[in-house]
Amino acid sequence: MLFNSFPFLVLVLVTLILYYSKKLVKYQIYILILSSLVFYAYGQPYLLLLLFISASINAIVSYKVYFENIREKKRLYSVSGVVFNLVVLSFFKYSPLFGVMIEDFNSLGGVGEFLLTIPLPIGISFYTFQGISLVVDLYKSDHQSECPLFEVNKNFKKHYLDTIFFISFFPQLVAGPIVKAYQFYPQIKTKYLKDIDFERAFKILILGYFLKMVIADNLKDQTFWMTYPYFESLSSLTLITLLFGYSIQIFADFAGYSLIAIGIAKLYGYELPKNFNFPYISKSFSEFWTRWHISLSSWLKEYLYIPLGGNRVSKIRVYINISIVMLLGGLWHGAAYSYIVWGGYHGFLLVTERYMASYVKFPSNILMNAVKVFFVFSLITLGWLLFKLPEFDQVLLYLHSLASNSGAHRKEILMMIFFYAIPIFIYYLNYLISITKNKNYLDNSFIYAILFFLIITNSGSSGEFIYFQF
Amino acid sequence: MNLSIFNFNKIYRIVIIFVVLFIFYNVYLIVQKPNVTMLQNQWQNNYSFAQDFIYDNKAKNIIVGSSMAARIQNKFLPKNYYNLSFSGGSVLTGLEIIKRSGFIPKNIYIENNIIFRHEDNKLLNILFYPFLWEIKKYVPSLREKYQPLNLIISKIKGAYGKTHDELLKISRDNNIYDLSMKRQQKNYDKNLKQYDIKLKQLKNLVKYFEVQGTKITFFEMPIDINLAKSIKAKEQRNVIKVNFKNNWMRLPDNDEYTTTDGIHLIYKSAYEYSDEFLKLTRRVNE
Repeated sequence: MLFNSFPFLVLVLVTLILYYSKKLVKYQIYILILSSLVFYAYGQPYLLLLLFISASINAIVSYKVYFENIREKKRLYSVSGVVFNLVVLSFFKYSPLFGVMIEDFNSLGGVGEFLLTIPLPIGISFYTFQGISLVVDLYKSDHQSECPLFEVNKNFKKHYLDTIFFISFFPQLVAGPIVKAYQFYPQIKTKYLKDIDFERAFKILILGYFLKMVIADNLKDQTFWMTYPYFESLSSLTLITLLFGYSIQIFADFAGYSLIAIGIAKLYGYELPKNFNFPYISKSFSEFWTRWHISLSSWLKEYLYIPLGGNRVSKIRVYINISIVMLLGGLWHGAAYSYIVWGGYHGFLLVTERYMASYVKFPSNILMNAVKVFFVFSLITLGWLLFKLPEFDQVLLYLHSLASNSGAHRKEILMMIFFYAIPIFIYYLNYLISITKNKNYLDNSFIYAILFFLIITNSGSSGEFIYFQF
Repeated sequence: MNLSIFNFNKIYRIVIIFVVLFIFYNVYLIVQKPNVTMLQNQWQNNYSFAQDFIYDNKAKNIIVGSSMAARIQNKFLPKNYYNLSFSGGSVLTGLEIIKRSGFIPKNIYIENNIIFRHEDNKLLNILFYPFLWEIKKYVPSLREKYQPLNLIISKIKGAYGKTHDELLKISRDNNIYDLSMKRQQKNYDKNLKQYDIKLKQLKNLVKYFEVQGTKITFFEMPIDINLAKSIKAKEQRNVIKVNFKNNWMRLPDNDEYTTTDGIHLIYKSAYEYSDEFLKLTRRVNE
C-alpha cells in the first residue's frame, strides 16, 4: 500500500478514529497492530506469515535474553536471535543473487533456478534490523542493569504484544526510519488526543508529500532518460544534468517518505527518529553519513562499527572496519553487485578522507566550505549512478557517454530539472539561514498552503518509493 | 469522541488559504481557458491527450496506436479527427480509453506496426480512477494538463520547443539513426512472440465497436524499408489479415519518408505523411 494512495488515506483515517475513540482506548495497540497487518497484507498477503513469525521469534528470544540470569545462556539466546534475523534476511534478500551466481556456474542443476524464485518481502531489511536491535539492546541492558535502556514487562503476553507492535508499526514498517528498540518501547502507552501536536504532524506530512509527489515524482519522469539505451544519444550536459536531477530525486523521494512516516506516527502519538538532516550541505563524507539515512548509519555504527572496535583500534583496523561497514551497508540495499560497489565506493571515500585528514588541514572559511560542499555533493551524486543503473556495464557506458557525447542538448529536460531543483535549493538555503538567524522563514501557514496546493495540482505520476525495493 | 479540538486551530489557517487558492485557480482555468502549449514529459502528454479526449473532444474519427502513429500530431489533423496514440503506448490502451469513456466513434484507425503491446494499466487506472475521473470533468486543476508549472512554461516563449518552421528543417542525426537501427534490426529479425492473449483482447475490442456501428480500418506507419520487409513485420501483417476481415489502408511507400531511428518519422515526414493519411482515409471511406 503506497503512502500516496487513497486506500492508505482511508486506512489512516479509520485507524485514527478508532484509535482515539474513548470506548476503544484500552485497545489502542491492538488497533495499530491490526492496521499494520492490513497495510502489509495489502501488497503481499502471503508474506504476512513471515513478518509474524519473525516478530514472534524476536519476542520470545528478547524475553529470554532480558530475564536470563546465566551469562552463557543469555549470550546463546542473543546470538541465536541475531543469527535468526540475519538468516531470514540473507535467505529472502540474497537468494536471487546466489541463484544468478549458481546459474552462471551451472553447477547445481535446479538449485539456482529455485533461488531465483524466492520472493523479496517488502521491508525485510528494515524489520530484521529492528529485530536485531531489540535482541542486542536487551543483551546490553537486562533486568539487572542499574540504568536499563528500557524495561521489559514481566508479563510475556504484554511483551509479545509490544514486540509485534514494534516490528509491524505501519508508518515505519516497509522503509523505515529504522527504529531502535530503546527508542520505541518506552513510548508504548495509552495516548490521548489532547497530547498530540496535530499542527506539527500536519506540517511534516505536507512537507513529506510535497517532496515525494511534487519533486521526486516529477523528476522521475525526467530521469527516466538515464536508463539504457536512451542515455546513449544524449549530450554530456544533458547527462550531467540528469545525474544532478537524480541526486535531487532520490533525496526528495526518501526524505519525503521518512517525513510522511514520521508525520503519520506522530498522529498516533509516536516519535520516530529523524532520518535526514540536509545531507547535501555536508562538507565531508563522514558528515554526509551523519545527515543521510541517519537511522541506518547510526544503526550500522552502534551495532556493527563499534562492536568491530570502532575508533579504539589501530589506524589500519579502523580503515578495515569502515570498509567492512560500508560494504555491508551497500549490500543491505540490495542483492546486486552494483550496491556492493556503491558501498565500496563510499568506504573508499571515507577511508581516503580519514587518511588525508591526518596530513592535510584545509582552512575553514566560506569559500573553502563552499568548495568542500560542492566536492562532496559531486562525488556523492556520481555514486547514485550505481543506484539508478542496475547493470555495472551500463554505469561504465553512461560515464563513457558523459565524457564523449556531443549530441544536441535536451532543453526541456534541463529546464524541468532546474525548475524542480529550485524548491530544494530554497529548502536548503532556508535551513542555512535559520542556523545563523535562528528563524525558520518557511514555517508559516501561507507557505504550507502553497505546498498543499501544489501537492493537489502539480504532482507527478505516482511512483513507488525508491527505498521500497530495499 | 470530539475531534474538533483546540490543537487544530493552526491547521485551519493552512486549509482555508489552500481552499481559497484552489477555488481561485479553478475559476481562472474555467474563465480564462489558458492555452497550454507545453507539457513536462511524454507521460504527461499521454495523460493530457487522453483527458482532452475523455472530457472535451469527441471527434468522429479516432486513430489509435503506438509512438509511431503518435507522430501524426493532432495539430496536423482536422477537428473531426483525433489521434489517441501514445509514446510508449499501445493500440489496446487507446481502444480501452474510447470504450471506458462510453463514446462510439464513426471510424477507428488502428496502427498495425506495434499491435501486440500490452495495454498500459497504470495510465488506465489513473485516467479512470473511481469517482476522481468524474470529478476531473468539473475541476480542471486536477487534470495533468493544467498543472501550474505547465502554465508557466507555456508562457515562456521559446523556453523549449521549436516553431513549426524550425521543426520542418530538422534532419536526421545519422549517429543516433545508426545506433538505433542496429537494435531495431535485431528486434525485427525475431519472430512474433506470445501474442495470443493480446490478439484475443484486440478481437473483443474490435467486435465491441463494430457491433455498435464503428468502422475499423488497419494501417501502417512508414518505417525504414529494411524493417518493413523484416520477418516480424510480415508476420504481424499476416496475423492481422488472417484474423480480421476489416479494411486496410494502402501500405505506405516507406522510401518516401525519413525516420529518426528506423521506426519514428522525423517531423517533416510526419507532417507529409499526415496529409497522405487523410487522403487514404477518404479513399477507404468512399
